[in-house]
Amino acid sequence: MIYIKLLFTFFKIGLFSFGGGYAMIPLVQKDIEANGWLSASEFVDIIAIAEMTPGPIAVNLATFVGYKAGGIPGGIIATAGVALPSLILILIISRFFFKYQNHPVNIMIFYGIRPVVMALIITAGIFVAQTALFNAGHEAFSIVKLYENPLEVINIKGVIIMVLALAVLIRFKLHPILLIAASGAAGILLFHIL
Amino acid sequence: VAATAGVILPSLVVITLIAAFFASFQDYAIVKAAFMGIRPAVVALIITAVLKVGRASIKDRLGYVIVLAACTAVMLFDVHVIFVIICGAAAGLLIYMFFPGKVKKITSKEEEEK
Repeated sequence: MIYIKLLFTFFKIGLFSFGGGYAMIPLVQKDIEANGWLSASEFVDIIAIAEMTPGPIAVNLATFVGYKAGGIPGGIIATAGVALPSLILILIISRFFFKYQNHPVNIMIFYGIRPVVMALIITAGIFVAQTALFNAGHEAFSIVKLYENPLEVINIKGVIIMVLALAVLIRFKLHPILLIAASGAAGILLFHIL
Repeated sequence: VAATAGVILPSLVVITLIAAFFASFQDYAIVKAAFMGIRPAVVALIITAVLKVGRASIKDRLGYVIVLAACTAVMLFDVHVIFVIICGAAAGLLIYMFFPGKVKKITSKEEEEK
């Protein structure tokens, strides 16, 4: 049953989605690949959409993947699945957490988890970069080809957009939604009109 | 519970609508071009997220070691993400049990930041 699978998968993802949003991308990606729910580039576009739409990225990702895999009920079930663990955990833990928040054991556990969360976000970045900055995409990505013929493999327009986006984000603190709208327009200009 | 449902419901509805429309639009050349522009922007957004998270999560040299180890495990050796998270927690716990001096340093640093 696809619904049970969706519920179980996203419950598990919700349970381990420390750091929310980006950090859960490698986890979601793995299960999507294993179940064949989406292609890599479809998943990357969904990350972009989840970023644009209101609400937490984690919830949006779950809804979208669930919908793609199992229609409207799939979307609802995946969303419930991803939200349930934090709901349960927060109901149970919240009162203990504030009591022991500053306990050394707690501090040390998160001292170990936080760098892992950062590593997961880096992994997510590299995953998206593979489709965003290279022409071959995930399926045919190879280091050998990159070395032999870099100009053919690297998507130069994509790299330019990324560098500009990064500059605008850091220098002017542009809002992500505006950035995505602007880069969408840049994409139409660079890839469609020119 | 009601509060959580209240936060989730609007995005559930919006995303379902978008998902339904996206399926019918995604094959247009112009939509494809727009997404080819958006993907690099998402990379930029993730880079800024890494920078922001990095400042808050890495306290010392050992932090960098954990980041590097976790990256290697997930990307090169395909170790399961959940297992890597548990290893991170275990690493923190081991330091707590066997290196009290280091724990003192880290906890006092956290206090300072508050």
